[in-house]
Amino acid sequence: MSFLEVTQWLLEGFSTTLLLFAFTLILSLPLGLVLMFGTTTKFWPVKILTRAFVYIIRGTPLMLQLMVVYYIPGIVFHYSVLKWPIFGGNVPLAQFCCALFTFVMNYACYFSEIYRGGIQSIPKGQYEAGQVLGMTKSQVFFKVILLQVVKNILAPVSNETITLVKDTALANIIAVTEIIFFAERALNLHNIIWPMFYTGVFYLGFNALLTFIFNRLERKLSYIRS
Amino acid sequence: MKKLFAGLTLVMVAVMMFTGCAGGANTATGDEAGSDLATIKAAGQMVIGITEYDPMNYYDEDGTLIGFDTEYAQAVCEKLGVEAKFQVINWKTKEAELAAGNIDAIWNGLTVTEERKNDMDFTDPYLTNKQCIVINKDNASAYTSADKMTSAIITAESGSAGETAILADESLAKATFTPADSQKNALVALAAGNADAAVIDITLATASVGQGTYENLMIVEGIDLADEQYAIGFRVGSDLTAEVNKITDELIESGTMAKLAEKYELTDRFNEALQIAE
Amino acid sequence: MAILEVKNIHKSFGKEQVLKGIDLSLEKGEVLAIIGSSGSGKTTLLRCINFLERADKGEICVNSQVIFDAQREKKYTEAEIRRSRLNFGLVFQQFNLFPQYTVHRNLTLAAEMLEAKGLKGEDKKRVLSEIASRADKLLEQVGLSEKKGAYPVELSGGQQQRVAIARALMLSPQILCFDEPTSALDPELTGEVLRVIENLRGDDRTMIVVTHEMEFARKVATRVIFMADGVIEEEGDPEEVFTNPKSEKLRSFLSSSLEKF
Repeated sequence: MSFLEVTQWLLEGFSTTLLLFAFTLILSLPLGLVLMFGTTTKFWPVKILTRAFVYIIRGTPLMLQLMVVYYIPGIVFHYSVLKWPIFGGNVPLAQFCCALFTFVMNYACYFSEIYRGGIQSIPKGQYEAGQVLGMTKSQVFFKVILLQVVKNILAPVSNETITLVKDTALANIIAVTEIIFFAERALNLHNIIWPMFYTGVFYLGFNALLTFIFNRLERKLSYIRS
Repeated sequence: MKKLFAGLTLVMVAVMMFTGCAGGANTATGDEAGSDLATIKAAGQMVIGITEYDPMNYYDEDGTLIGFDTEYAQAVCEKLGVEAKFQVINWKTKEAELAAGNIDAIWNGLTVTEERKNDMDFTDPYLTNKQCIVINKDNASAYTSADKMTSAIITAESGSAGETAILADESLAKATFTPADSQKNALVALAAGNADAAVIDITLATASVGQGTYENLMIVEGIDLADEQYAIGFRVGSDLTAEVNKITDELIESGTMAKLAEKYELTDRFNEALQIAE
Repeated sequence: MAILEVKNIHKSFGKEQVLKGIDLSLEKGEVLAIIGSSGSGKTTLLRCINFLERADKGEICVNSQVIFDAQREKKYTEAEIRRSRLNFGLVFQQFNLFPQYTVHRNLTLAAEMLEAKGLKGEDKKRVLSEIASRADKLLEQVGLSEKKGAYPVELSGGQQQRVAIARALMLSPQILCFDEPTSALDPELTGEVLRVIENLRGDDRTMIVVTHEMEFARKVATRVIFMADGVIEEEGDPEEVFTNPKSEKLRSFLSSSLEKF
C-alpha cells in the first residue's frame, strides 16, 4: 500500500472519528446540564438516582460501557441492537449509534461534574451583590453568574474535549470503523504496522486545532478575574 | 423549569438503571437457538462474523471480498437460499457477538477447542491446522528447534491454541511467556524485538511472514506443534450445525470443496481433514 | 420620625444564638456606627436588615411601615423581599464587583433592569441615557471618572470599594449600609474609602457602618452602638462611648483595639 493510499484510507476512518467526536460533544454538553440539575436538586429521589448514575458511569471503564450497550440487549433480551428497526438493517449505523450513545452518557456525566464545580466555585458574594441590587434569581444567574461559570469551566471542558478525541479510538472494540480500525485493517490485510503510528499525526493535527480554538476563547474571557 | 429538568432526568436515569441492572437475569440463549434456520431464512441472510485475513477472508485487487472461507460460506448460503452477509467483528469478543445475536456464525478459520464447546456448537472440521514457531531471520542459526528456545521470550495470542501449544511443549514451557492481544500483534512484537519467538497458526504465518512489517520474519521449518482443526461455530443447540454439515457433504461430493482448496493452496490440509473424518 | 426601626430581632444558626433581641431606631441623616469584636453579631444584624438572612423573630419598619415581621403567617415572597431590599444599599467587605463588567456597567446593570423594564423606543433610550449619566456623576463623586471603562481586576482594592459604594448609591437607597468596608484593604488604602464615606455624610445620607476603624467611627458617626454576644451592650454619641465607656466589656474592647495600632 502506498503512502497516498494509506492516507486516503485513514482519512476515511478519521471522518468517522470526527463524526463521533462532534455528535458526542453536541449532545453531551447540554445533557450534562440536565444531569447537573438532577444531582443538585432538592427533590431527593431524582438526586439519588442521578448521583448513582453519575457514580456508576464515572466509576467504570468506558470500554466496559461500550460492551454493555453493544451486547446486553442481545444477550439478556434476545434482541440484538443490530436488529433494532430504527437502524433499518444498517449495521455500521447501529454500531456507530451504540458508540455514540455510550460516549454521550459518559461525557455528560463528566461535564455535569465540571458544571457543578464551576457553579460552586462562584463566591456567595456575587449572588448577594446581585440580590441587594434588586435582581431576581434568574437575573442574577444569567447576568452575573453564568459568564463567570463559563470562564471557570473552560479549562476543564477543553481538557475533556481533547480527551474525547482520543477516547473515540475505543469505539473500535465494537467494530466502529474509526481511524484505529483502519490502521488495524492495514495490518491484517497488508501486513504493515506503520499506518498505526501514522494515525498519531491525525490526532495531533486535530487536537492542535482544538487547542488553538480553546486558547482563543480563553484569551477572550481572560479579562474576567475575581 | 428546574422541575421539568428534574423530571426528565428521572425518566432517563430510570431507563438506564433498568437496562443496566437487568444484566445477568437470563443469559441462556439455547432455547432461542432452535429456530436459527427458520430465522435466517425469514431474514434472507446469514450474518457471518469474520476478521479480515489472507487466505480466509480478504480482498482482491478490485476490492471484492474473497478467500477460502468467503467462497465456502457463499456456496453454503446459496444452497440454503439465503445471502451470505459478512460482518467484521472484534475477535476477542466473538463469543459475545454470537450470543448477542449480532452474528449468526463464526466462520473465519476458527480452531476447535474444548473450552469453546461451552460457548458454541462446531460443524465437522473442514481443514487441519498447525501451530508453528515464527522467529526473526537474524536468529535462524540459534533457534533451530524448540529445545534451543528455553531462555527465549515467547509470545502468542492470549488464550489461543498457540498459548496452549507452548504450555504443552516441554521446552517452550520453560521459556518466558508474554501474551499478545491478537496473533497479528504477536508478530508485531516479534518484529519489534519485544519477543524472540511467536507461536501462531500456520495459515496466518504462511500468509504474513516475509511481507511488510514482517519482512524479516521466518517460520522455523520442521516443528509442528499441536495439530488442530478448523470448523464453523454456531450458537449452542442451533439447527444450522446439522444443516451446514449436510450441505458441506454435498459440496465435497460434487468436488466444489476440493477446487476451492486448490485455489487457495490448502489442498493438503483439506485432504488431512477428510482423512480424519473417515 | 424614625426612618428605620428594628424591633426585637432574634437570629440563630443551628443551636447558636447570634442575635438575642436587638432594638434600634434611626433618624434621617443619622450615621450609625456599629462596633464590637468579631462574633458579636454586628454583621449578622446588618445582613438581617438587608434580608440576606431572615430574622427568626422581630420586626423591621421603614418610615413607620412594617416591611418585615417574622411572626407573619404568610411567607414573604421573593418579590416582596426584593421590593423591601430596595430601601437599603449594601457595601460588602469583599466589594463583590461583577468581574465580567466594566466599572460603568457595574453601576448601570441593575438600574437598567429595574427602570428600563418593558420600555421601548424613545422612552427606553431616554431612561438608559439618564441611568448612564447618573452613573457618570456617581463615579465623579467617588473620584473614579477616568476608570469608567476599566474592569474591576485592573483597580486597586480601594478603588474597587469606591466603585462598590457608587454602585450601591445608583438605586438611591434611603439607608446605606456598610459591612466592614475597609477590613479587606491594605492599611494605606483605607483612607480613600473612608474619605468617600465621610463625604456622603454631607449629603444628609442615613448610613449604618459596621466597622473596626475606631477613629473613623468617632469622627464620622452621629451615634455609636457597641454589640457583644448578640445584644446591644452600650449605645450613645461617639464622644461619650469612646471617652467614657460604662461597661467593662466596652472598656476592654476599646483598650484591646487601641493596642492594635
